Parts: sequence; C-alpha cells; structure tokens
Amino acid sequence: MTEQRSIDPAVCDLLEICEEDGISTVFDRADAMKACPIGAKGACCRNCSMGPCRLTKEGQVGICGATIDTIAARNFARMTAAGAAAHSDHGRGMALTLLAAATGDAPDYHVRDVRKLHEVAGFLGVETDGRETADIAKEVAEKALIEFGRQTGEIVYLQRAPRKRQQIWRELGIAPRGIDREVVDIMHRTHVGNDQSYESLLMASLRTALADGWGGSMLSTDITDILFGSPVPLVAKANMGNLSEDQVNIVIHGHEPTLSEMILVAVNDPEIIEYAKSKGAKGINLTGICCTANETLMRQGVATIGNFLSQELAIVTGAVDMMVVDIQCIMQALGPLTEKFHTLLITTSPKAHIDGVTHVNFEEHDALEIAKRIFKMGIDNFPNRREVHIPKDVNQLVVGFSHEYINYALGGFYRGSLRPLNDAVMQGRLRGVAGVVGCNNARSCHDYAHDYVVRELIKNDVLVVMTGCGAIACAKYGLLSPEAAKYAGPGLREICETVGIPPVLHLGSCVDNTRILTVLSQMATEGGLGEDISDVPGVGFAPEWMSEKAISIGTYFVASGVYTIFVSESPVRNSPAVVRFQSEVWEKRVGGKLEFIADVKESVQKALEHIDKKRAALGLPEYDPKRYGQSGDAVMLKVLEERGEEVFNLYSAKVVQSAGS
Amino acid sequence: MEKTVLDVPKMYADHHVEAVRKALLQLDGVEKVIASSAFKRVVVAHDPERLDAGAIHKALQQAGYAPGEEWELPEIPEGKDDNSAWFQTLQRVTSTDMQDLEMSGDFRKY
Amino acid sequence: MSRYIATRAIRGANLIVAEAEAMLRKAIEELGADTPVTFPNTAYYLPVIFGFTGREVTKLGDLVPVIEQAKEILHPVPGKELWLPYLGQTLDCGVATLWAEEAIEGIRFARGLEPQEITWDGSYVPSSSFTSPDAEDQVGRHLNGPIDDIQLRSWGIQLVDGRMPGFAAIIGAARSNEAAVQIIRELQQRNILIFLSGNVNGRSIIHQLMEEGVEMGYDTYIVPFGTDTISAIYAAGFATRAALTFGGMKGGQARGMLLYNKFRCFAFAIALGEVDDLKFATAAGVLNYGFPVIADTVIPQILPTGLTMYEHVVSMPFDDIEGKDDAEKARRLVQRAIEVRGVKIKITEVPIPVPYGSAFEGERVRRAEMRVEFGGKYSRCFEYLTTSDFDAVEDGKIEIVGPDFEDVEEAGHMDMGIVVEVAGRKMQDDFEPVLERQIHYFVNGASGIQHIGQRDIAWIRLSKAAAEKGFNLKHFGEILYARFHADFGAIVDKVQVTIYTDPEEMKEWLAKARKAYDYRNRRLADMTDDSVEEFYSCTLCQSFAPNHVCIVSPERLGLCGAYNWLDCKASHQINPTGPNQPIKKGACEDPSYGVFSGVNDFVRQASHQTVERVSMYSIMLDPMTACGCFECIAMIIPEANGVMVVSREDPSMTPTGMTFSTLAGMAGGGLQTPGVMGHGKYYLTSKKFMTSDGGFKRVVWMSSFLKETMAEELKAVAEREGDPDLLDKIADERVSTTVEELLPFLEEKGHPALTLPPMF
Repeated sequence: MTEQRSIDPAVCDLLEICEEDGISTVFDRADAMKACPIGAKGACCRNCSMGPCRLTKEGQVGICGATIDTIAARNFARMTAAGAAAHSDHGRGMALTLLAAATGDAPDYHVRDVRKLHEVAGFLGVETDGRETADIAKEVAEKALIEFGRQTGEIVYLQRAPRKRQQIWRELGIAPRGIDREVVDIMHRTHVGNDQSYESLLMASLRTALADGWGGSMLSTDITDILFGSPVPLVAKANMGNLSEDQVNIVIHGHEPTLSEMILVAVNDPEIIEYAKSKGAKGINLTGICCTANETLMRQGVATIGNFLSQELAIVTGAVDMMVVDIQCIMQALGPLTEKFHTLLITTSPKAHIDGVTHVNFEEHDALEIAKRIFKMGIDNFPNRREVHIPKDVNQLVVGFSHEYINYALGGFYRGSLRPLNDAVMQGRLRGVAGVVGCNNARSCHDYAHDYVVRELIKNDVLVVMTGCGAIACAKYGLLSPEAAKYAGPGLREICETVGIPPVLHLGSCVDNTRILTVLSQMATEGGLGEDISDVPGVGFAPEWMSEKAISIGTYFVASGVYTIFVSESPVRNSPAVVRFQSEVWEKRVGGKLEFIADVKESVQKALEHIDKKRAALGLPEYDPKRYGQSGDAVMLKVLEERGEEVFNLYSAKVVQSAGS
Repeated sequence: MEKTVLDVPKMYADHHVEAVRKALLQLDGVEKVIASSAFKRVVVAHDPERLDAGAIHKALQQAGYAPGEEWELPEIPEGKDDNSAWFQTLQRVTSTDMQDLEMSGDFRKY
Repeated sequence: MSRYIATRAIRGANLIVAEAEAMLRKAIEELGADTPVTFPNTAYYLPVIFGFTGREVTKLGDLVPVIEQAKEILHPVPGKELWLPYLGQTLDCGVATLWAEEAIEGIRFARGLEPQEITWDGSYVPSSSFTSPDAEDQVGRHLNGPIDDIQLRSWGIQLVDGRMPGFAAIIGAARSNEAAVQIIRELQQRNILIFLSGNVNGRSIIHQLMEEGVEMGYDTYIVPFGTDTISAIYAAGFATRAALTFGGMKGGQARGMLLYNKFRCFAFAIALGEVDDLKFATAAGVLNYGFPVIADTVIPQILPTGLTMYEHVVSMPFDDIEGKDDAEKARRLVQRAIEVRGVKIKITEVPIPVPYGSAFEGERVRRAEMRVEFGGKYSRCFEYLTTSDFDAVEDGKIEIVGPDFEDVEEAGHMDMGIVVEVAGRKMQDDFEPVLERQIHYFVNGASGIQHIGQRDIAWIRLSKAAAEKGFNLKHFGEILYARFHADFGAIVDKVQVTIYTDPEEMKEWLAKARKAYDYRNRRLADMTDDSVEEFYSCTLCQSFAPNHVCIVSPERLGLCGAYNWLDCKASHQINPTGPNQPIKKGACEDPSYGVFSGVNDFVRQASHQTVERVSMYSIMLDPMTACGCFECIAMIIPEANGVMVVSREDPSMTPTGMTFSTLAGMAGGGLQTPGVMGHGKYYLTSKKFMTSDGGFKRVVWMSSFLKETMAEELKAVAEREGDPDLLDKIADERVSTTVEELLPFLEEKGHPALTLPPMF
C-alpha cells in the first residue's frame, strides 16, 4: 500500500511504522474520506443561508438564481482571494518587522542586505543618497505598507513588469489598486446578490491575484531579503536522515522566517548549547519543514527534512523534541499526533492557534528572548525521548538562487545580465524555461508528479526553477544538485556546466514565486525573446497543488502571461464555460491560460507543445537536441586520464576516440 | 643521461617557467629542461656524473620553487557569510540594464 | 565556464593577486611608496585599472588599494563535488587577475624591467624600436610593452572604418615555426592587429617569428608585448583605452567599457600550446570584454554564448586539424578563430604572387633587400588616374608599354608611369584625385612592395623576395584593377591600367598628368565654403564615439585628416545611405563663427541631442566635437592670448601642462569643450582656420613636427596672413614647454597674438 502513497523512501519507511502502530496519517484519512464530489467540481454554493445549494444538472440554478457558471466562478474567485490574503498578510508581517527593526522597536532585527535595501528603495521611489540605512529602511517599510492600504491608482511594483504587460493590464482594467482592497473587492463581489457574471468574476480574480504576485508576495520576498539577506548559493541537505540521534532535534515548520531566523541566532548561543548538553544531548540540531524550512535552507543552509506531507511523519520518527510552527499549511492533526509522542508542539502566531496545543505568542520586540525561551522548552523535552526511528535518507543540494544571484551568475560583477540565458533559449540549447511549484496533495502519490514532471522537462532541455514544497520534493531525489546535469538534455547540460548550476534551480519558498516573475520580466526586456512575458517560451506547473495559495499563484502567473498547468481535475469543472474562459479567453486577453490536466504525461506533452509554439512565434530555430552538447570537461579529463607520461603536449584529442572505439 | 621528473606546484604560470628554466639551465650538467606550467612539472635531462637529482631539487628550492611545495590559497568566506563578496561588494540587479540595449544596437536583434 | 577551467582560473587569480601583493609590498619597501608608476607615452594611467575602477595610479602607493579591491572580488575555488555556481565568480576572478597583472607590469616599470629584453636565434634583423627610441645598438633588443597613444589614435580611423577589423592576442608558442608564421600571415592578410605574449617552456611565438625573420613592429601590425602571460595585459589595456578614447567612456564605467568592446571591438585571444592556471585566469578576464578564446590544444570547450557574441572558449587540437602541413592547419585555426568572433572581413582577391592585405601597408623595403625601385633619387615615377569615355576604356586591360624590370640590375632603378583610366556612369571629374590617392594604399598592400608619395613624386620599391616570387609590372595593374572594382564599384564600371616604362611615352603622359595636377590644384583651391551649397557630415566614428559628428566643408577637412570634402562627396556617391551625408548649409547665421542653420539642425539630430550648436570656425564658441582620431589638438593658452597646436606625433610636454595624450581625453569623446578642439593638420592652412578667433595669427606654439612636415604650406599661410616671418615667431617644444618660457619668447619675437584683442 505504502508504495503508492509516496516515492520518498523515508516517508514509506515511516508509513510502515504508522501502519504497525495504528497511527492514522493524512494518507489514511485521504483514503478514508473521498473528496466531496459536489464541492470538488465547484458545484456547491454556501455563500448565504438560503443554501447551501448544489447544482448538479445542466441549466440548474441556485435559490437566488445563480447559475452553474456564476457559482463556479465565485468559488474560484474566493480561493484566489484567500490565497492572495495569505501571501499578502505574510508580506505585511515582513513589512511591519522591517519597520520595527528600523525604528528600534525590534532590536534583534536589522538590515542585513543593505544593497538589496537600496535596490528596493529605488523601486519604491525612496531616496538613498546620503541617508542612514535605518532611515531608508523605515521609509521603505512605510512605502511598502502604503501598498497594502492603497485605495486608488495602482500598486507601484507593476512597473517592474515589461511595458507591454503593464499596458495589457491597464487596458483590461485589471491593474490592482491596492493589495488589501483587491481581496476585499472579491469578498464583496462574491457576497450574495452581487457580481453574477462569471466573466467579470474571473477577470476580477486576475486582478486580485496580481495584487498578490506583484504586490504582497513580491514585497514579502524583497523585504525578507533585506532583513535576512538575498539568497546566494550554498550547499545544504534534505530529507529525514538529517534528524539527529543524539542531539536535540528542533523542527521549524510554517512560512514566516521572522521567528525561525531568531531561533537560528539562538541555536549558536553558547548558553543554549551548554543547556542542551546539561540535558544529555550532544548539541542542537535545527531542521525545517515546508517553507519556513525553505527560507532558512536557502539563506543559512539549515537542512530540510521534508515537505507538507512529511510533517506528521517527522513526529513519527520519535526523534523530534520540539516542533515550532508559525503560519500556513500546519495540519491540525499534528496536535493529537504529538500527544502520542514526546514531541512538544508549539504554535507561535496569533493567527494560527491549534486547540490543545501550547501557544507561545511570538512578539518581534522581544524576539530573541522568546526564541531562547522556546528553545529551552525543547531542550527540556529531550530527556523524554522514547523509541526513535530515523530513516537514513539524505540528499545534498545547492540552493539559494535569488533572481539577483541569477543575474550575477550569468556574467559576474561587471557583466551580469540574463543575456546568456536568452541566448541559450534563442539558439535552442534551452528549449524553454519552466517554473514548477506548489504543494503536496494526499490524493495523489506523494512527490511522484513533481519528480516526473521535472525529470521529463530537464530531459527535454527545459531549465526548471522551483519553489516551495515542490523544490523540497526534487531536492530529496537529487535533482537540485549540480551532478543532476547528467539527467538533463545535451543543451541544458552545456548550460549547467557553463554556469556551474544544477538543471533545477531552487528559488525559494512559495511566496518567492515572485522571483520567477522578476526573472521572466527581465528575460522579456533583455531582448530576443519578444517584448512581453507571454512571448517567452515558458510554462508554469503546479503538479501536486492543494492550497488556495496555489490557486492565487497560478492565477497571477496566468495574468502575467504564462501558460500554467495544474495537474489535477479542475475545481470548476462543473462549468464548461468557466473552464473554457480560463483557458481560451484568458489566453486571448492576457496571453496566459490556466488549465487543469489530470494526466501527468499529457500535461508535460502540452507544456512542451506550448513551448514549441512560442518558439515558432518568435521565429526561433526548431528545438533539436542533437545540435548541442559538445562543450564541457569530459574530453579534457579523458585525455588527461589516458596519457600517463610526465609532461606531454595536448595537441590531439584523438586518444579519446581511439579509447572509445 | 638521466631524466629527473619533479612536481613543482608553485610553477603555475609562464613567468615562473622562465625563472625555473633560468635557474636550472645555469647548472653544470643540465642538458635539457622541459618546464610545464600546465602540469606544474619539470623534466630535466642531465648528466648524472656532474649533477644529481638532489642538486636539481636544491636549485629549485633556492629559486623559490621547491618541488612539492604549494602556494597557500587565501581563505575566502562562503557566499552566505556576512563578510563575503556577495554581501560586501556585489550588486543586486533585477532589471535589464538599458545601457546594454543601447550599446548593443542592432546586434541584439539578430 | 567549465568546472575544469573555473577551478584553474580561480586558483590562478588567487595566486597572481597574492603574488602581485607580495611584489608590491617588496617594491614599496625597497623603492618607496612615492616611486612613479607609469606606462610611457600612454594616457589613462594604468588603463585596465583606470577603466574598471576609475583609480588614477601614478605611484606605487596607489596600487595598494587596487590590490585590496582585487581581493574583494576573489572567490573560492569550486568544490570537487556539489560545487556552487562558478561562472560569475570566474569572471570576477578574471578581472582581479587583470588588475594584478597590470599592477605587476606597473611595478616592473617602476623597477625599470619593462619593456622586456629579448634574445633570439635566427635570421631576424631588428629595424625599429617600439615604444621609445632605443640607442643604436639596442634597437629591437627590447620588446614593445604598452602601445603608445599616438599609435592607438592613428589606428583609430582604421578600426572604425573597418579597414582594421580588430585584434588578435596570441599567447604562447605555436606548434612549429611554420605554423607560427602562417598564423601571423593569415591575420595580417585580414588586416587584424596582432599582439604577442606568453611562452611555453620558455619559448614564445615572438622567438619563433624572430627566428623566421618576420618583421615586427607597428608598421606590420605585429606588436610583441613580452614573453610571459602577464604582458598580455597590454592587449586588455589597448581594448580599454579604445573604449576610453573613442567610446567617450570615463574611468570607472566598467560595464560600458566592456560592452563597448563586446559590440565594437572585434578581438579574440589565441592560446598556443599548453594552458596553465594564469592563462586560464587571464582568459577569464578577457571574457569580460566579450573576447573569445581559441586554443590549439585540448582544453574544455565552452560553447554557449551571451558574454561573447559567439562561442566563449573553443579548442582546436592542432594535430587533429585537417590539413596537409602545419601551414594549412594554421590557416584553418585562424579561420575558425575569426568565425568565433564573428568578424566580418571582406577579402579582396588580388591575383598576385605575394601576400596581400593592409597589414603590409607599413612594410618597408630597405635598400639591401631591394630588387628595383621606381622614382626616388635616381629615377621618376608618376601615377595618374583619369576618366575616359565609356567606350574608350577596356575593362580589365592591363598593358605594359616598354620593358619590364628584368634587365635592370640588382638594386637598380627605372622610370615608370602608372596611368589608370576609369569610366562609369556615376563617375565625376571631382572623384579623380580621390581615387588616385587610393593607389598609394592599394599598391602598398602587397607584401614586399613599398609605396611612398603620390602624383609625380611617387616612389615605389620592390623587394628581392617579391621579385623572386614572380612579381612583375603587370601585377601593379592586377592590384589596381581588383581593388578599384572592389572598393569603388559603385562609381567605377570599367578600369584599364597602362604602365609606361618606355621613355618617350612616359614623357608624353607625364606632361598630361602634370597638366591635370595643376588643374586640380587650382580647382581645389578655388573651392571655398562659400562656393558650395552643401557640406558633408561624417559619422563614420559613431561606431566608436556614438554622439560625435564631423562636419566637413571644403575649407575644413575631417579631423582625422583622412576625409576632405571631396572624399565625403565621393563616399556619399558610393554609399548614399552611408556615414557621409550632404548637409544643406541653410542660412548663415554668422559668417565669422561659421554658424549655419542647416548644420545646427543636422548636428542636433545626429548627435542625439547632445550637441545643440556648432561653430565651424571657432574654438571658443560651440567648437566642433571630436571622436578621438584627430591629427592635432588646438588649445587656448590664455596667458599668451593665443592657441597652441600639438600634433599626435609629438610626445612632448606642452605649455598647457599636458601632453597630447592627456589633452586628447578632454578633446575627444564627442563632447564640446570650449577652448579645446581636435582637427586635421591641413585645417591649419585653411582661410577659415579659427576665423572668429583671429585666425592663424593666434597660433603661438606648434609642435615642431608640424612646422617641419608642412613647412611649404605653412609658409604660404604666413604670407597670406601678411606676416612672412610668422612661423619663426611661433614657439615649439624645443623652445618652451611651459607658459613661463613661452611668454618671453613671444615678446622677444613680437608675436602678433599679443596685440590681438582678448580671446574671451
């Protein structure tokens, strides 16, 4: 049974233990409870108390008269709004932290990346010349916060998109006015008796999603970089094997790095380490799950032990002394589960309590103290450990590809630009680019679709960038290490060897999908690949999505001009009109389209077709894997290996050919 | 005639080759010197009667190229560290440099 | 990059920076921090360092912060497994390498170890010194070191107009001497500048060429920098200075400077023989400039593009190249190198038995190597181009009237007349002198032929080597026929060449030619700015100086000296959409300043709004801008109430306290600087020379080079100005190099400028 549940050997191991011990996990619950067939296809409306109405027959209407199309579109719009709200509120949190850091209200935080601060200041129109860092930071934070509460006009970051894209948004009237306003707009619009045109609802969804992608999320990424540093590549490790037998295992889980960064500071505190030793541990081992893990992984190299569906199984190892969670994607099941183990679960965000779970309210003005206090609670729990099952699986990976670093990587300090990337796509070394992002979903085999999609794409010379749980999934199977270039097609391999990158780049947490938007914008303006994001031969993928945030992400990619594929049945399939609108009409209007394709093979096929279509539209040469692949170290190393004399001339590579034949 | 092969890791460039050759060729009994900075290796053909391998070794040492001795590479912080080039020196760029576009003129259009 | 290369390049960079630091520390200890550091006869301090960082290094102590800055962009060597990205890091390390190398050369200069000395075996006879004049017995014993500024500027126009497509930096030693010579010949034939440096096992391509007796020097486009890789830095310096000189870049505008080179300077590096850590590191440095690297040994290839236009690093193992001998393999190697850089080269096939290309233009034929000469001291030679009736010209006909030179004794002489008759629907009489002047360049392009002078004072020498290869008089005709068709096909449809050695015929044609010369002289002299309706623009240099526009009028030729009004007119005919466009003068707003509404409109638009107004005849009010290839710079000397004129051949100090090189920085780059102006040397003789500022009488100081080479013309000017002794009243560098020395001289001589109204 467990074989089909996940392709992660560590997860499979632990699921066996669960089975033996009769522990119920998300996988069991998914088996036990089938998805509600009415809700699954977007046929259920529970927006007023005359209902809930379920519309299962063609032509049927709700009590208020709402049509199948209206209800599906309303449901979709609300999912978008919820996702946008989650990301943006996260972004607001970061902005408030920056403000507190700048004004001295949060003395434990400071601006780590001054250069990034200056860059962002430039975007927000904040003067930097001759000003103190704290002063700039304060104004940047204030300007960022204005974006959330902006009522009219449009959010400033839209200007980071290619000019043509901005024009499309303005012409269609979907340029978001303010981040919060657009979320409220959807909630209002979908209230009973309001917007009852699926077309209007879906266009409004685009606007709200844009407020997330080019607003809340993008600000979140930028400000997080300012506070904790723009990621730069580093070597890190992934999977359960990173839990330690003899150290205090503290797992951070959730999405906001504000607390986890403080925990990281605390972990190096000699006093804390001493304290851990006093309790019989050899030290402290910090690891992460989900996007909090991604944040600390890409900045400090803190190991990740798994993604969304691994959270319960981490507890099942019996080795986790404490799990500290903040916001988003934290299963309530952790509460009852930790009662069966010694693990101490602590919620910290005032926005995310769980019944029956210890709550330590995290406050920024006293961040480090609270972090230390939490730490001690974890250490105190170490002696309570019982039986431990830690799977041995560990994979190494290279993370930390911020969009700024990608620029640098392709040309260094003096020549940094995306020119080499564009050149590679234009010549056909790269067939195209793809962003593969998103969650895990217990209704499909854990990590399978991520792994399959990514392997297929890189085999076809598509450079893949990843974020969130998808990135952790591929990290676990070695696809994020530079050696993975061997799985790539010949052209992509050449690029990987030239730059020294893995064929799959880890761009960060799920809120960092905006990094992909920035890279795409720059590819479009760099020249040679059209003038707009929608001209670039690329696709977006969410192979195992489950959260409303994923819907928001997918939608803002579509609104930015990207063909986005969700590998599942459509949540609005009850309305063929809505399905058609999201695909055909959106493509016509904004250049991107949203499609739900349940068959993973078909989805890859469609993605490649789309990339080829875009290549043809640009007049680029047809993709031909046989044309490239001659560069690299292989020949040289072979020649050096074959010849044993003390000093020899290197005027011939023939030795390789003769050795090969 | 004897052939002595010595690894000279300090000879990483061709101006070192010149120095090493100069040091060796002035020795009595040296017939031929092949100094390769790519392989960081010296091959000396010499008359063992007049010059032994030890003397070659010594001559190299005196010239500052002791066989087997490496230059020490400086310690450079990792990218993620606060004192790395990434945080101290390097720029943050996220948009196309318009000067690039102007400078490239027609070249960009291919 | 490839990990193999990145590992070595980064290691090499770390080591060379450490080495430079140690050398610097030692040099400061021994010589003191104030010891001057300078590359002689060059501007822009240590140019690579200046170009990248804006730091003006003039003494050893100034190098300390440079090394510190280099250390800031060093990175660790990539790991053996789980390596982090290395491309950007390698490129940065490459830049650090270049700074370190330039610092080392600076230190060597401070210690008097540069330019390097060289010894060689073989048949090489050095004939010239490079940077600085050497004592008689030292001639050619030193390598070149950095290219001096005069040379850079005089190559400028060739680089911009495409006659010289770019440069090749060759590092190491070729597989064989045969291959070395062939590589050089292939590059010369394409007019590509050749920079030599580096060695393999102590042997450099410089040694190889010397052994083979290949003439090196600025005249043959072969510049030997030094026998180690470090001296390859001068190639990077040359590229940097080109961007600063012609591109209007300022020190510290690194990115602009690099992109300028990527897009406008067609250069590449050829690594011959094994490649070590420092060569990889240096290659990483030049990749920043967009220059690809081609190796003749096995090294990892880097084929994706982006930093460079085409492939980054290409390996062509020499023994694996197809070809029957080393020469053929070398030919293929160079061809590939040129493909990789994407250099567009038009080679005109000239069916003669010796190599042909403008790299041979400067080649000299000494008396000892001479087979025969035409003209000069003992005989007469003339050349004459005339337009004939369309039907009277037989295209391709080459006729020798009289005997060939086989009966002339070795190193003897004979009379010769070259008459070229052309016909074409678009041909105009005005173009005759323009085309005739090309004969000089065309004939000079043949290896072993030297051409000096023009009209009836032409002087041609033919080397023994060329004669042995079968070169005879008919081949002069072949050259002219091929080149006129190739270069001037737009106006010339038919070309017929007759070569006269028969004394009678020769005399007859000489008389006809002289009559034509005389007519042309008068016609040119009659042509004034007032007598024409149109001036011509010249934006040829915009490929180098994007905002500069030359306005060429009959009385003010282009500042490079290469284009006068007729040239521009002809060029416009040949290429109607090209860089020379007619400009309607429009209303003359001020005849004294030479302000024309049409000219202003044109300049504003063609300079991309950076220059609003131009006064054709003034140095003080809206003077004309300059690119960088001017022959002379005029600059006001307020104390003397006049101007000085310094020629680019003059390396001496001037009364302004600046040398030509330093002044050039102010005058060039397409910027208007009142009081400073670049111009062609024949503008000095124009009636419109600074008319608004008082004309030629304002000249209080002038390089002696100008006085001597233009003695006749200037004398005529002095007479025209009503002061026949004026020239003697003008100081030069032999009299004064400071204002303090200048003023007493002027007073003593009674220079008229002292009594003219104030200049401003």
